[in-house]
Amino acid sequence: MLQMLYKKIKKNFWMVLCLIIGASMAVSLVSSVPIYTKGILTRVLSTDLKKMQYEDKVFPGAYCITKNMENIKKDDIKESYDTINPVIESKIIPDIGLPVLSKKVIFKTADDLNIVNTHDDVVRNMRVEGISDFENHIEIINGKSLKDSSSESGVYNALISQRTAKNMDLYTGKTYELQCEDNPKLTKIKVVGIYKYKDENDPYWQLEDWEHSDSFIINFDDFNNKFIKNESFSLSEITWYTAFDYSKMNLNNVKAIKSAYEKQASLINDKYDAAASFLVSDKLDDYINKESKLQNILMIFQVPIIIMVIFYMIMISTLIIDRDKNEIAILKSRGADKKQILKIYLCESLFVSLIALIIGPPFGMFCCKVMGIPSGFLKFNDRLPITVSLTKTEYLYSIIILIIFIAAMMIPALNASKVSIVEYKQSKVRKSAKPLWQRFYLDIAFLLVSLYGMNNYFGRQNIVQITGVDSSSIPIDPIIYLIFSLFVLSLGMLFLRLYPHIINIIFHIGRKRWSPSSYISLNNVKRSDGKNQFIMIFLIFTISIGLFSISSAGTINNDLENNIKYMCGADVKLKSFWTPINAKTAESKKVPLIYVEPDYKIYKELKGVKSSCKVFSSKDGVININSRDIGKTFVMGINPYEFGKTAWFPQNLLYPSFNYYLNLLSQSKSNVLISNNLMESNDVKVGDLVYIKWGNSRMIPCVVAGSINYWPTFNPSEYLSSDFVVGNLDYFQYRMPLEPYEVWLKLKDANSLNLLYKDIKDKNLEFQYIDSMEDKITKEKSDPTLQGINGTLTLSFIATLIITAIGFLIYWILSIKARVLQFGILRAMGMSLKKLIKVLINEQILISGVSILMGFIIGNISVKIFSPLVNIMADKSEQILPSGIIPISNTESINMGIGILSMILIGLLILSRYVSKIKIDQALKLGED
Amino acid sequence: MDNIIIKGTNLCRYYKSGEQTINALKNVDIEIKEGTLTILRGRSGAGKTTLINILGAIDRPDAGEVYFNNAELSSLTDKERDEVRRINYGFVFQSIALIPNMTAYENIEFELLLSNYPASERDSRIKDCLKLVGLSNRAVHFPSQLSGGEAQRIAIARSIAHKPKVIFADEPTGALDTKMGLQVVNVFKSLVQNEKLTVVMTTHDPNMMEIADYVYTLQDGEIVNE
Repeated sequence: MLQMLYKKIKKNFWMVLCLIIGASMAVSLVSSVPIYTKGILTRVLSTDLKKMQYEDKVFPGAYCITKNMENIKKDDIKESYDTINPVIESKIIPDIGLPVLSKKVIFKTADDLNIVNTHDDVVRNMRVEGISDFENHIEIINGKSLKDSSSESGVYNALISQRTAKNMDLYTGKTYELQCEDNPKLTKIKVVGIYKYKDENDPYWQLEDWEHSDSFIINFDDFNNKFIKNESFSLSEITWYTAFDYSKMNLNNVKAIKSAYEKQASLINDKYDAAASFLVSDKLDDYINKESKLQNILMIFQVPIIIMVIFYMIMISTLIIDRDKNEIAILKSRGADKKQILKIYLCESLFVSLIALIIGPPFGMFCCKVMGIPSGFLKFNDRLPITVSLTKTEYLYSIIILIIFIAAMMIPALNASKVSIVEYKQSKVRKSAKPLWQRFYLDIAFLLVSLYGMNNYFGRQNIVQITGVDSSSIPIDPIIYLIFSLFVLSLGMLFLRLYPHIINIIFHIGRKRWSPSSYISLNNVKRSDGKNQFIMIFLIFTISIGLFSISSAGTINNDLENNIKYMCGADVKLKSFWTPINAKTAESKKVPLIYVEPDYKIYKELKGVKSSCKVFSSKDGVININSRDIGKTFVMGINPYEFGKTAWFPQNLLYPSFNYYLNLLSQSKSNVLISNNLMESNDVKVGDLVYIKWGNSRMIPCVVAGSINYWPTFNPSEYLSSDFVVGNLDYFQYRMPLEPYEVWLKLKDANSLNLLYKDIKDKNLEFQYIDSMEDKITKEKSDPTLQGINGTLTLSFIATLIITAIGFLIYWILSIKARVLQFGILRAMGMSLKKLIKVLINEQILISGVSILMGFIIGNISVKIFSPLVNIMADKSEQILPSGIIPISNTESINMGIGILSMILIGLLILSRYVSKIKIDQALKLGED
Repeated sequence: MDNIIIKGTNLCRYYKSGEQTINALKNVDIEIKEGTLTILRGRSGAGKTTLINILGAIDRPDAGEVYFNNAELSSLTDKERDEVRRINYGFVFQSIALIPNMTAYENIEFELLLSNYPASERDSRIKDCLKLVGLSNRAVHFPSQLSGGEAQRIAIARSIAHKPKVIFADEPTGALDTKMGLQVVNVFKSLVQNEKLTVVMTTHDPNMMEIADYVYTLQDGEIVNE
């Protein structure tokens, strides 16, 4: 059996290699999804955790267990501590599974201990603490450390922080008397030194303990052994603090960490009556959710690629089996039964799958590492490679896909094994019938199924729109991607059904004029009987999907970018410092603040600025319609001409155009535009008089000139700001005292932002804030979903190209091999090599060229139909602008076209070389058996 | 009448098979007279096919010269030899070398196309050729729908369609039974007699000898009698 398998593989070595490449490619792709998801989220996790530590000043690895000791009798304290401490030390901390950076135990009294008998009457509430390992982490800045101080009997030596010393007015070397309110006994405490942290970033200090303010810190052992026993104060709580190395958290262990923590929290609570808190735990929840969501999205994006690879596998295994058919038939005639034959093929598929399983996942990981995280579709950047590793998940996915492949590879074998030698020879002589799918009208059936599916899908879309349900709450249905694939497939098949007839017509039209090469190629194409259809449908499908990937990625990136641009309003927005000249009197006299306008000219003179405009806006405006006040209206005042030149706004977003509405505003100073929502819900008509005000201003009479749904920075889907009014700033300023406004700038080109920043620095200008569109876009692009989609689409796209190239070459080489005899005859008849190569070129044009063209056409059609799908996929619940309002540039499609063209050229070169090597006399011998 | 149309002198052809060199042809001298049917006979492996391929400018000799109408062929470029074959020669092979996805009519049409036969006369020429081989009723059939003898006759019709001077037929009856084989050979005979064609044919079938004008017997790459 093994020997037979070996012989079989040896015979079809190149084909088996192609199968292995295909399968490995698919496995790499599939396993790259979890790798990518984890990689991206791990990076997001680590940046977020770092942000938590350095910006929010919260150490994410801080783990606290606090036991309240107020109700524990003094005699039981030691026992209580001794039962819980070993559990924490030996079980709870190791269970989290992260390296421990630092830990400490803190004993605390209540914080209402009074310092009595002082020189003044100030009430000083203090607490006393014992902290383990304390002195190794501090520096004494005044006085001595605890261990260097001599002890007097009856007096406890203590350290205090700088803050305590300052707040409580305490001094080094002084002894203070502490007293608990309900107990007359006095306890003497001597401040021997003032400390500060040795290293502020030491994880030992990362617990939010506010520098142990208002605390006397005494020796940890003294606290346990003497202080609590002998003094009148009761223990308030014990805290076990552990600082874990949070940088070791990744998507592989968050689930384990999270579940370990949850188990511990309830155990600690139930059994030891203590509370556990792990600051990062809520964040982890977030990530676990994000992970599965991202994984789903990415997976769905790969469905068509997988279908394409399945296609490829069927194609290659059909080719293999075509070559083996003779052998199978002979085997059968010698008494081998169907099962035995299938077994050989099963072994072969298993062999291929095994190799794919070994190569695939590491290769997928390699690709992810090489790519890092792309900043856009087919855009790589040089950021550090993501840390990724292989786990069970990748292999699970790989195995699932391989099982599908084995099935795909077995289908042609199953068909072939049914045929006996007699039937095989007969079928060889018989003029082959139409392919199965044509006889059963599978193309029409597929088309109907996909149309039905589409109808359902769009029906659901409507429901979403009508009910206003957040689209992300509707589960993404992978079926829709199947529908897409079916749709592309059915259109391709439908075309293939017609294609031979079209060629036939062309053939007959020019029958008398065809050159021998054209005659042969046209004839080959119109009579190919399904042989060429595989490669044609494969190419059509591949290219449609490639186009879809490109356009999906383009749409997602583009929409996101446009959204940001729209919400930003302009390239740069800034606001100067506006100081009112009547700040002190205004409030008491209830008059509006009076400002002096900063010099506006400076903005125009800044380097890199193309145009600028003043934009006044207020979020707490009020509009009075029909004597009724409507609050929380967003009011904006602009100068239409300058605003139109400066703001980012697609003309076609408003009907008839943005400029039309700007013109409406400039027609009369008192004209305003109001949001559709205001117009509709308040029964306002164009020409109506309304009043607007904001802050403490008076009512300004305005005339409604039109209604709008979009305006720079205005989000119509946001509930609170759905009321919106735009008017003329000059009119507002004429009616009202001057108010601070923003300045919007439009930049000259891509480099202008740096110029602008530099110029601002050089001129020493200072602003309340300066926001740039570009910075915001860069920031938004690090969104994990977006990065994941871009990465997956890029990977898939590259894989598509590679698989197409291999499929294309192998198909053509084999088809030439099968036609060596024909070429021999043609050469013998006196056809020159040049003409023979022309035959090949013609066939490439008629088969590959036409398929590619059809792929582009069908791809474009399906992109048009299915692009709303992409929006749902990308879960853009924050989408404001309608998708695709600005057409995507088609550089990538052109690149794909160039890629495919060069692939065909390379293929042609290889084929021509192969054909020119055919020896006529030897080719003719092939026919003699 | 007795013009020598093809002449081979001192023809040698070796094949390398591993370490061994096989002498497929050893110093063969041969003359083919115009308007005759010449048979090359011999056992399989005797060098018949090698000789006919060299004479037909499909293969090149390792030594010696081949002349067509006194023009030396082996020194010509591939392109020029293509030209000679396309215009002056017709081929019939043992493997019934019709183009499988073309009908009988189209197979012949293609040959005419290849040899630049005037477009207006093509249709009538094809019909003539089909008539000549007695298969006018099979024009629209594909090779796979014809019997072996019929297919080979179509192949002959194709080989003569462009009015070549010489037809080379390598074992044209090899794949056929005796009855069909005779049919095919009779077509050749009538072509020689009626159309004044020259036919060179290989065979190992002794029944064919009587219809030949000349018979060369090959043995181990040498011509043993005339």
